[in-house]
Amino acid sequence: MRRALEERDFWLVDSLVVPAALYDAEGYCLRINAPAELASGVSNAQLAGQYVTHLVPPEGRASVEAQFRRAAVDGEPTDFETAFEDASGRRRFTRAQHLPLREGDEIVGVLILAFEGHRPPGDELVGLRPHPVLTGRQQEILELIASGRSTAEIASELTLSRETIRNHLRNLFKELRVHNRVEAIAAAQRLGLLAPPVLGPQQGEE
Amino acid sequence: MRRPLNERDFWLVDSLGVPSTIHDLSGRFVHMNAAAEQASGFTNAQLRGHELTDRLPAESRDAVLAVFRRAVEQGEPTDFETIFVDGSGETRGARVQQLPLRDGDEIIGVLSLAFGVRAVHSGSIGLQPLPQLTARQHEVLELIAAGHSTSEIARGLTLSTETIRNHLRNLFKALNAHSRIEAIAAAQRLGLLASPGLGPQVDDD
Repeated sequence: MRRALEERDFWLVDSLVVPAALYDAEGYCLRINAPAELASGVSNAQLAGQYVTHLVPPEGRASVEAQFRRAAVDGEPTDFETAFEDASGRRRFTRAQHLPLREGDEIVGVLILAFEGHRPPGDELVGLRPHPVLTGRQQEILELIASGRSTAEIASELTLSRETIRNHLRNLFKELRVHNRVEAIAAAQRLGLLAPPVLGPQQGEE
Repeated sequence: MRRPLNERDFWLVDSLGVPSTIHDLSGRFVHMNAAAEQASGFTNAQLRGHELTDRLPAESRDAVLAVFRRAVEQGEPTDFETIFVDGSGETRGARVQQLPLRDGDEIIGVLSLAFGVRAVHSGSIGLQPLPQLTARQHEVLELIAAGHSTSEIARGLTLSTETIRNHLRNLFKALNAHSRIEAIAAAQRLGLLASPGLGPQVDDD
């Protein structure tokens, strides 16, 4: 049987300097800390029991829910940007991290951390559009451009021609609805496509 | 009086799926979870009481300590990339986030989360001496990282595009970068693009 998150789990959440919240695996709020109360203008008592999309504007709910499920069902940490409405009705941009909590093999909840988000160019609502679907190769190339590599470097690393890389980039830009690499990286970060993977076990001998 | 970190702080850390460690104000390991034991190849018992930089190669120690002090002294979350040596002697890269912990107004320790590094540019990981950016350079850096163009930045800051280009040139020089992409990638590795915690609600502007 899955253990329920309880009082002693709240202790660390309450000690964090950044806004933090604890959700159960179904997506209902168990606890928010004081910085989160200040940031949202909503008290712990008001938010407890509410679903994870409670403060998210309607057009952003599906994407926040999808990110939450990636953490709560697939056990992957996520890192993306979204908007929410604070108690005064003001729309704010935030960067959120969803970190799965485990008990043995089971996910028992999700720790959510909130950071300042960036207002996107053209004030377009971040992360609120349908989630782009990238091929494995597009994702690989996206990660390589995000690490600062040039087309020539990517081509030699993947042993493909530059023209092939340029084709992949064109399709990647189209999927992300952007016009250049810098915009692609910014958009991918907002959409959670560049969330860092979990640091795996020690490699040992190869 | 400052409360010591204790068992109650460890409870949630032990449930985190990502490798997590708790450090006291001087950086010493107080606790690590099972995911961190697996990733590092060290047990909690082996590392407890050890310095933050014990498992770091000599060349990255000063820079990691400098970032750690920022978390402790300014109460700011940090986000940077570094290398460490695991239990089998292998050097590995990690992206590290340090989250200050407090009791009332006092910082009492740091929760450190470790992630994998997506793509490692050979020789690029590990902290060089932290470049000193002016406030304006930093502002421009954050705007290019958010995907804004030179003309959008000029409009936003009510400066001329030529002035922005000058700031960019100096920024690239400070980061040893030749393009926006290289500048953003370098800034991320160095922890210059760590997002601050979401601040309090603003009422009116």
